[in-house]
Amino acid sequence: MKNILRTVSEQFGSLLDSGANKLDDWFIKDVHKIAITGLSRSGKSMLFTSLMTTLKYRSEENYNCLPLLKSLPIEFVEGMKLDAIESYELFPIKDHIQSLENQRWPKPTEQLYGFRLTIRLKETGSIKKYLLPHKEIVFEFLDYPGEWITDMPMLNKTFSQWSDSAWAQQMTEPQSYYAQEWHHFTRAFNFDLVPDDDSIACVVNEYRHYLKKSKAGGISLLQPGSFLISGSGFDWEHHGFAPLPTKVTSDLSNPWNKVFSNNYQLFLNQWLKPLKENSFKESDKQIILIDLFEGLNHSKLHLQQLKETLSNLSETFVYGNPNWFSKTVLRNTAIGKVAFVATKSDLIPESQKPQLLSLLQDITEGARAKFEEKDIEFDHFLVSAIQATDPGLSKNSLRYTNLQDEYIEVEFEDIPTSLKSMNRDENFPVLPVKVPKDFLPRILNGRGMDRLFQYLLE
Amino acid sequence: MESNFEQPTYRPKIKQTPLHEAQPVQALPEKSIRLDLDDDKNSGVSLWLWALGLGVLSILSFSVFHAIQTIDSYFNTYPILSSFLGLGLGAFILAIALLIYKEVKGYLDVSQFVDSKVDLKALETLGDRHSTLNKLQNHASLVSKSSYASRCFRQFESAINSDLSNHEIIGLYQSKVAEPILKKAEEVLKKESFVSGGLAFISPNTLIQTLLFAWISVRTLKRIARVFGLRPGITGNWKLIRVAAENMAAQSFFDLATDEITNQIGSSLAAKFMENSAEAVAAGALNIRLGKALIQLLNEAKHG
Repeated sequence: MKNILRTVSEQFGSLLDSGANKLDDWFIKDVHKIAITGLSRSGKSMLFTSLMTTLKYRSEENYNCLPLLKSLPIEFVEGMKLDAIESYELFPIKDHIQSLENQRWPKPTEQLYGFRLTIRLKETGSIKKYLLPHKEIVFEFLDYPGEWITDMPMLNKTFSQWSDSAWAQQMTEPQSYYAQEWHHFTRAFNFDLVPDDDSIACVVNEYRHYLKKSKAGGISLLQPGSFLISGSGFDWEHHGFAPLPTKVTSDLSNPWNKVFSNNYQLFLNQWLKPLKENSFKESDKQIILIDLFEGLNHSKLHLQQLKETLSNLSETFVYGNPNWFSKTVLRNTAIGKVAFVATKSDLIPESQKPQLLSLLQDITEGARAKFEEKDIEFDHFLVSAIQATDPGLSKNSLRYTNLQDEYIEVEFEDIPTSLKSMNRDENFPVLPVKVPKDFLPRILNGRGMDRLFQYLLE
Repeated sequence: MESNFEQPTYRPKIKQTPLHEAQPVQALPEKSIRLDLDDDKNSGVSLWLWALGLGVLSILSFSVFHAIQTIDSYFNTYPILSSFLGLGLGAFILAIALLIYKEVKGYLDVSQFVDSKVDLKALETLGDRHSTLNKLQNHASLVSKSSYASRCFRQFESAINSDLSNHEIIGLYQSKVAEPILKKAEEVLKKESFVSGGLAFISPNTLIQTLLFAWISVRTLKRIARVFGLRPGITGNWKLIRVAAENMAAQSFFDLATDEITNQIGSSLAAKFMENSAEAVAAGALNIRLGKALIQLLNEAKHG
């Protein structure tokens, strides 16, 4: 009897708690669920590290940073806290700060992190401040490796469709240069042999080698990116696959075609579908991080491919602006606000920023076309999570410290304002910037974060 | 196997030159300045105290001197004492001269401040961040360094970076300078109006009430002007004084009216209470009118 009573009282207590939490959510919490989407090396980890560091120093030490963030006025911020979202890992902010202290850039994300940043503000309304003395702005962020994002369009394809398109991409520039060894391997390989564990591993490893080489060469459209990082939840070593030459995929009875088709379906069902359902569905705002320098560093073709990748990616997400009933009662979520962000903007002189913004707008053209018939708000931003460079002597120059600890002055020619205006045989080699010793003031002096988050909070 | 594809080569569009110096260390951003500090209460008062003190000292000195002269009318007999008295008198005259200078400067500052209007809309249309910053800095140079307005401006200045557009700079100026100053001025006015109403309520007769009202009106003008970074002195500006004078006339007229009503309904305690309450409300309202006129005058200078 006692047990029954205890169970009933516990249930009642938890009901009361959840009811109180719901009331809190309605009255004092303003929750923004933000998906940060960025390809590999787009600067997600540094952006999070910078955002949290800046907000911490702004609220606890009163540093006058993020001046355009009017929705979180410095004088009304009482405090902030960071905690993990249920069933997700907490973002490793301490490890990243430790890396910066050791003058190393934070490690790229190789697993899923879900965290909640809660900022408590004093209520200033004349009556409200007596009834509800504070309110909370809650950001829920999901950070996942860029490699996983590039895999999402695979959900809409069969194995043979994916294999043929991957093969076609490998035959065109800029991939064709990096795919030579892989193509040589497939030409020499006998696909009439019955596949066994060793031969499958051999083909998959050779394909991974191509993926890795291309990634180092700045190629953005690499599938499956999940094979490149250890944190992915798919056992590619035992259930791997690779694109096959057309003569193999067109023969439905070919044993390699059968095995790889099965493994491909397994990849979609066991890995990609749950990932999309759990990680991408809940967001109502999206930040798409784009590292234009990865493209500028290589060539016009790399930038063209980046444009294509972004366009493909936008098909993965659910965009729209559900009304209150649909959102609150039917629990339908869709992304209604999108910020396209070019990161690492401190790597160009101040005078070139308008050009970079224009190039960003050109690169996102295909992705934005998907919003045309929907009521989606979007804008473009330049952000530097850390101001690692200094102004140079002329307006088109800047200074930085390279990995050999040399302080270098760099003179820039004009950055192209669109893909059309970029010549095929020219590039802007990326600057190998070392983490400055004075990283903290340089993070607090970062640019564009306030403009970006004010836009998302409005 | 021979390669079909050549390693692509590109012409770099940057030119790198090593420098023989180390990267400069960046400073942390400025800390947010506390805006809720009291205004520069002491900076004007101390001079008054000096003047008063020196005046009293001089009078005393002359009295003593006169007394000594009476006892011994020979100046040569007391050279040190007479020198001391002369110095005191000189200092007193100097302090009085400084006070006069402050008053004249205060008067001119108000006029100059009002004349140097910053038209934010026009600055926004021009779209030139350099000239916007110059204009705002020139305007800020007119305000008292230790004032609330100056602290707001320092806050604004420390938030400016090369990344901000002209539109964002103007927006930042609104949120960091114009809006906080207006809010603070309104807070001061609210407080002063309560005091004004309270004094009107407890004042025993019309003469005392008028004197208190004159005092609180001048105090309101000064306190609001200080929020905007001005030190108008006692004379202030003719426009401000005119509003104050109008207020006093209106208050006197209201006194007459309430006295007459009280006479009509008898002189019971309840009637007196009602009369005083009505006068308190009127005094508060008139004070608000005074403050609002001043805020409008000074705020126009900000928004153009």
